[in-house]
Amino acid sequence: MTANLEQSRPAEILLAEDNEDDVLLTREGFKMAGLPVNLHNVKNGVDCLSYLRRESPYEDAATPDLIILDLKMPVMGGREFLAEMIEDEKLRHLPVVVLTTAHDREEIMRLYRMRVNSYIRKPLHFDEFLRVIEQIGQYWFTVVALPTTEDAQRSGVIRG
Amino acid sequence: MPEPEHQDSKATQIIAPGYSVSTVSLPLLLDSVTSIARSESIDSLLERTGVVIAPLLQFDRCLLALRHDHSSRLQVLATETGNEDGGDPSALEEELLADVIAMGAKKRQSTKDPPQSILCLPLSTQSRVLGAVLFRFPPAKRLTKEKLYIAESIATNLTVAIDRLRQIEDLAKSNRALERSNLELQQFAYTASHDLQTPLRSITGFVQLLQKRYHGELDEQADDWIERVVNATERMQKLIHDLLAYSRVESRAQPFEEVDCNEVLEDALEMLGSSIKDAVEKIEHGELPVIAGDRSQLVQLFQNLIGNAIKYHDEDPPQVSIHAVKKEDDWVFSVKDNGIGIASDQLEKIFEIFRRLHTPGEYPGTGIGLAVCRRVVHRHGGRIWVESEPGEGSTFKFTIPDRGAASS
Repeated sequence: MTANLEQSRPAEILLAEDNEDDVLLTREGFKMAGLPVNLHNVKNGVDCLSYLRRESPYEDAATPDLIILDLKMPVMGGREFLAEMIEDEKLRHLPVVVLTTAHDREEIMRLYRMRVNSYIRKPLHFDEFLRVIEQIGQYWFTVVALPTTEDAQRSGVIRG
Repeated sequence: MPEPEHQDSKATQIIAPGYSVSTVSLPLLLDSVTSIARSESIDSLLERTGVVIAPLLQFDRCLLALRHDHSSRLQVLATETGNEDGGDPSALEEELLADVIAMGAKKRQSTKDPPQSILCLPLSTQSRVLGAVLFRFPPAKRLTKEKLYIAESIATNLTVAIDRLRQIEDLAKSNRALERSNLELQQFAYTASHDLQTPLRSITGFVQLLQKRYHGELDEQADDWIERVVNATERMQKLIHDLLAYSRVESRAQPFEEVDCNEVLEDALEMLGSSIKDAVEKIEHGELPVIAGDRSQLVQLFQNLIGNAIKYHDEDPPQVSIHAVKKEDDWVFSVKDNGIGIASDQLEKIFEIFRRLHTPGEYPGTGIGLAVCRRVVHRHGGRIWVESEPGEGSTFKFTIPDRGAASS
């Protein structure tokens, strides 16, 4: 299932989501979809940036293959996080999927302009939610070729 | 303004039984009446009054006191002077103003030290005393019958102007208050329904997870109970979803633009999705007009009406036809079905929010769809109604003003 990931290791997913229930449900969703993932969770944009920059207490954090981002979070929401992330040469290549209950056409446009890779409305029905999780997994980890950690480091060095 | 020489003028004009006004002062009187009537605020009225009427009456001091609704305290709002300096009202002046306001009748008083005569007139409407106006005359200027007449007619004019301006102020104030509370209510409805979604999503998620993973592992009773919770949370989700749609009609309204209703219909059918393709035998429609409106709200309107037309059918497979005809300045749209129809005593009630004619078991629904329709149509300046008979199908009709008519 994860043919495009290096050596078929489990996918590293960073879920920026403050609602504990949603984190649990997403975790169960990946489990039920049979996708081998390491799901890491941060509760707001600030922690998300710290995680990605491997700042304390995230020194040993794995670089995520995909970031799943909620928009409404305390301290720093998804939008502000994105604005900072795309300014950071070392982070801007990371794929981001926005998964949210909000649906506002202008907002969707703004987010795509901020180079969000997908904007997904969180379905209300759990079955549909499972399907979405499965599709995210299928698409990102079997269809799409993701940059390897080495690619990212190399290009970071070249740009830096 | 010409010099007030009318005191010496012999020419007079009879303008009311028992009263005459010199022809010289007549234009001045008319000027002042116009000026008072044209005032746009009580402040500007007070500012002007003294200046405008001074040449007419030749007072050396004019005071205006207004009574306020919520206090018996008198407030002297303007001290306008004719020929002398102003200054705070004296004890005598204040007492006179208060008396006249309390009695609602005019008062005249002369004093020897300093020598002066004072005229104080109530500003009273038929129902209440708004305030009083006071003129103080220097000893050299007698308070003639003519001056009394002019003073009284000015007091009448002031009364009418102040009453009118106060009513405008009150109206504007209550309008602002209404707008504010309306806005708060809209925001409240939207936020409440929006915030209810978060905990409900957790409940729904976990109970569905429970059902998925443990179905058949507990006893039958447990499975039944879980299913009931799942169904109830789904109904609640629909309810909140529809409430949000209802409150969005006002709280997330978009400015009107040119909208092609043929495209609106297409979008609405697409949004209805599989429910249409599976159920409908025939959807037929005529050419629809371009109107001025809020596109996404119009899609919602068509979606709800067509959705109902499909939903409420009996054994016959549903057929729907959608048309629009121009009638005077309006477009009259119609959505006709061959469904179960509606009893005549329910034709108006069905547009009320939460009003349902069926149990969820018979026909599912939240009772919000038609309330949204009515809100959308009203926002577009139209009307909505239904023509129907039980068993004979229903035709929902609504009007939207024609663009040309709306802009002219």
